[in-house]
Amino acid sequence: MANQQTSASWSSGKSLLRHGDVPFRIGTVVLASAVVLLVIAIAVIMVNASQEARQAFGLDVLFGTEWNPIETEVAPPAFGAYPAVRGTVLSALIAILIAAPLAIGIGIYLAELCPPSISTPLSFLVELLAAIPSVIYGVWGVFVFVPFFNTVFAEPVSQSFGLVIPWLAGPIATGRGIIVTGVILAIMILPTIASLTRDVLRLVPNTQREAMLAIGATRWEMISQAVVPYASAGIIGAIMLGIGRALGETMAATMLIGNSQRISESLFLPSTTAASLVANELTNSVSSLHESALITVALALFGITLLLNLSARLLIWYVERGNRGAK
Amino acid sequence: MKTSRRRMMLAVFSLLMVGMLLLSACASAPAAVEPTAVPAEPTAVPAEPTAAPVEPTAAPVEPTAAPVEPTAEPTAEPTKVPEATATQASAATETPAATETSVATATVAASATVAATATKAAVTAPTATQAAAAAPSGEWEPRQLSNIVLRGSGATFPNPLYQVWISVYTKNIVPGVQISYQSVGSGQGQRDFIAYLTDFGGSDSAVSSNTVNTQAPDAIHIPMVLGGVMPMYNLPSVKTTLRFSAESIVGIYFGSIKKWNDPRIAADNPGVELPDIEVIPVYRSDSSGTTSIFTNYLSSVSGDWKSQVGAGNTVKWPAGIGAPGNAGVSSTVQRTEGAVGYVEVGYALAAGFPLPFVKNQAGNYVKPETANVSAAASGRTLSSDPQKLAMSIVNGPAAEAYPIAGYTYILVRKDTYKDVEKAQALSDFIYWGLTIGQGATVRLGYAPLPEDTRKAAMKALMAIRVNGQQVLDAPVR
Repeated sequence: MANQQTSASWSSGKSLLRHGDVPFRIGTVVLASAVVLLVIAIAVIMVNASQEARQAFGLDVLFGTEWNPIETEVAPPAFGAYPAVRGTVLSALIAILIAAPLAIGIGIYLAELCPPSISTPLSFLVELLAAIPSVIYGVWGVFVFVPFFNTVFAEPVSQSFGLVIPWLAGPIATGRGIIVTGVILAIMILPTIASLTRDVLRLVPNTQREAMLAIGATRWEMISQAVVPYASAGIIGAIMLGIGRALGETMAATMLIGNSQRISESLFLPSTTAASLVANELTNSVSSLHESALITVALALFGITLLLNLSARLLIWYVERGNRGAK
Repeated sequence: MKTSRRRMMLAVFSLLMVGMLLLSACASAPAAVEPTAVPAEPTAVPAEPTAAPVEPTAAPVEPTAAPVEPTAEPTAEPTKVPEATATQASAATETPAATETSVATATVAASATVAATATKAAVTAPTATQAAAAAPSGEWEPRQLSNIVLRGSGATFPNPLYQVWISVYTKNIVPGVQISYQSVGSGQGQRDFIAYLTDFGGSDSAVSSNTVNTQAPDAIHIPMVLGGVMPMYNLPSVKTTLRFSAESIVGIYFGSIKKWNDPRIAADNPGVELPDIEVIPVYRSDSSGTTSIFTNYLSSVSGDWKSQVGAGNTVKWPAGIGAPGNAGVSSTVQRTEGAVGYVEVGYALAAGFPLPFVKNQAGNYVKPETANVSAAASGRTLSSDPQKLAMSIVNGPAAEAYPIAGYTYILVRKDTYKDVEKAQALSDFIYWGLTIGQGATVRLGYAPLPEDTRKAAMKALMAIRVNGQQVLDAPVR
C-alpha cells in the first residue's frame, strides 16, 4: 500500500514538492547510504593500511606462530598472529558451547512457557544484561569471577581430569586463561541469543502449535518437534550473532585472557585474542610493518564478523519473512 | 517505467557513493606524504642571524641591556621576579607585540649572541661569551602572548604532571595561552608530532634514530622529568621488604625462577623466609613507555635478554601474563598471590605496596625514592648536540642511583615552526616547566631532573628557530 502511494506520487511532481516528499526521501536515502558508505570506507582503509603486511607475509600474518615486534640479535621481528587467532576461536567456541543451550532454554521459556506476568520483567532483565558495558564484565571477572572460578572449577578440574587430559592441565595460579574468558564471554552473549531466540519463536504461527497439540502431543513434543524446528534457522542466526560478538569482544577478553603470545596446550593457561592484540598494540606500534600486521588481523576479524552477522541476519530474516505469509 | 526510474535513482546514488569513496581514498594517500617534505626546507636558513647587523641601532643596544639586569637585582629570588626587572625585561619583548616583524628582529639581535655559543657564528664570539657569562643570574619571565593555542599529545605517564603545569601556567602565569595535552600514549604522540598534527609531543621513549632520520630530522627531545619503574609483588606472608638483584628480576621475567624460594631470590634476601609458591610475572599487555624502560633495563643487565627478547614498547615476553595499563598490572598483582609486576612508582604507592630494594650497578640496594631516581640520570656525559639529548638512563653508575628509571621527553621542532608567537609560547612554557615547574614534580610522584640534565635541556630549548631566528633567550640556571 505505502509503496504504491509513494511511487504514484513520483509521477506527479507538483503534489510531491508541495508535501516535501522528494527532499525528505532524498534526505533519508543519503543518511541511510552514509551507513553503507562508512562500512565500505572502513574496509577500504583497512585493506590499504594492511597492504604492507599482506605483501610481506601473506597468510602467515594469521597463521604464523611467532609474534615479535622487536628486532633482537636472535629473534628477527615476526608477525604471525596464530596464537591470537587460536585464542579467539577457542574462547568464542567455549562461550558459544556454554551460552547457546542456556540461551535457547531461556528463549523457549520466555516465548512458550512463561506466564506474561513473569515474561515481561524477565525479558527486560535479560536485555539489561546485554546493555552492561564489557569493561564492567571484565572488572567483575577480574575481581569476583576469577577467584571464584579458580577455587570452584579450575583447581579441582586441573588436579583431576587435568592429570590425564593435557588441555585441562594446570598450573592455574594466574587465574587468566581461555576457559575463564570463554565463560565471561558466554555471559556476555547470552542475552543476545536469548532475546533473539524468543523473538523468532514468537513468530512461529499458532497453527503449528495447534496442529501438534491436536494430534495429542505433549507440550514438550509440541515445542521440540513443531516450534523449534520451524524457527531453527532463526535460532542458528541468533547463535551466529552471539559468536560474532564473542569473536569481536575486546575489553573483557584483554582483562581476562592474560595476553600471552605463547601457545600452550592447556585451556587454563593464558593466551590472547585477535581483538585484544590489536587493541593493546596498535596505539603504540613499533614499526609500520607492526601496525600493518595488526591492521591485517583487524581486517580478518572485520571480515569474519561481517560475514557471520550478514548470514545470521539473512537466516533470521528468512524465518521472519516465511512467517509473515503464514499468519 | 516507474521502477526503472527508481533504479536510475539508485544507480546515481551508488555512483555518488563510489565516487566519494574513491575521492577519500585518493585524498588520504598524499596527505600522508606531505609532512615529510616540510622539514627539509628551512635547514638552509641558519645563515640569517648575520642579517641582524643590518639594524645597527638594535644590535649594540640589546647586549648592554642584558648585563644591566643582573647587577640591578643580583640576589633576587629565582621564583619571584622583581618588578623593576620585570618591566625592563618585558619592555624588550612586549612592546613590539604590536609590530610583529620588528619584534622578531629585535629579540633575535639579542638572542643571536647567545645562540652563537650553541651553534657557529664565530664572528660574534667575544660578545657571545659575555652574554653567556651574564645569563645564569639573569631574571626571566614568560612573554605575555595572547590568543595562542598549543596542542600536544603523547605519553600517559607524565600526564598528571603536565595537566597540573598547564592549569597553573595558563591560569596564573600566561592567561593568553591555551595548552592542551592529550594522553594518547608515547607511540601515538610521536606519530601525531611527526605528522604535524600537534605542536609538541610527549614521549617516554626516544623516537628511533631511523625515524628521526627519515621523518623528523628536526625533532628535539627535551627531557622534562624522571620516572622510576619498580617491581611490585604480592607476598602476604613476607613482612620484610624484599631486595631484588638484576639476576633475579631477569630470571623472574624469563620464567626460569619458578618459585619464590628460588636460591637466586634467597641470595638477595638473607634471613627472609620465602614461601614455596609460584612466581607469576605480570607485564603490560598494551605497548607503553613503562615497558620500554623496564625492558631496556633487562637488556642492559642481561645479554641473554638483549639477544632473545630485546627492548621496546612491546616485546615477546617469555613468561607471565599481561594486563592492560599500569592500573591493570597493579590490580592484577594485588589480586594474585605470588604475582610480581613492574609499575611506575606512583601506582604501587597508591595501592599501598612497599617500595622494594633493587640492586644497582654499584652493588647497592636502593629504593625507588625520588632522590635515587634522579641520581639515575647523574654521572652521564650529555651530548652538546641539542638533538641528541635522548638517552637511556637505566642501570646508572652513581652509588645511589635507582637502576630502573627513564626520562620522559617533550618533542619540539628545531626549525619548522612557522608561527613565531606560537613557538615563543611553547618554549616559554617548557622553560617554565624546566625551572619553576620542577618544584611540582616530587609532590606528584616524579623525580626532578638533575642539574646538568636540566641545563642541557634548556640549552636544547634555545636551539629552536623560527625563520632562522632564535625563539627563546633565557638564562640557563
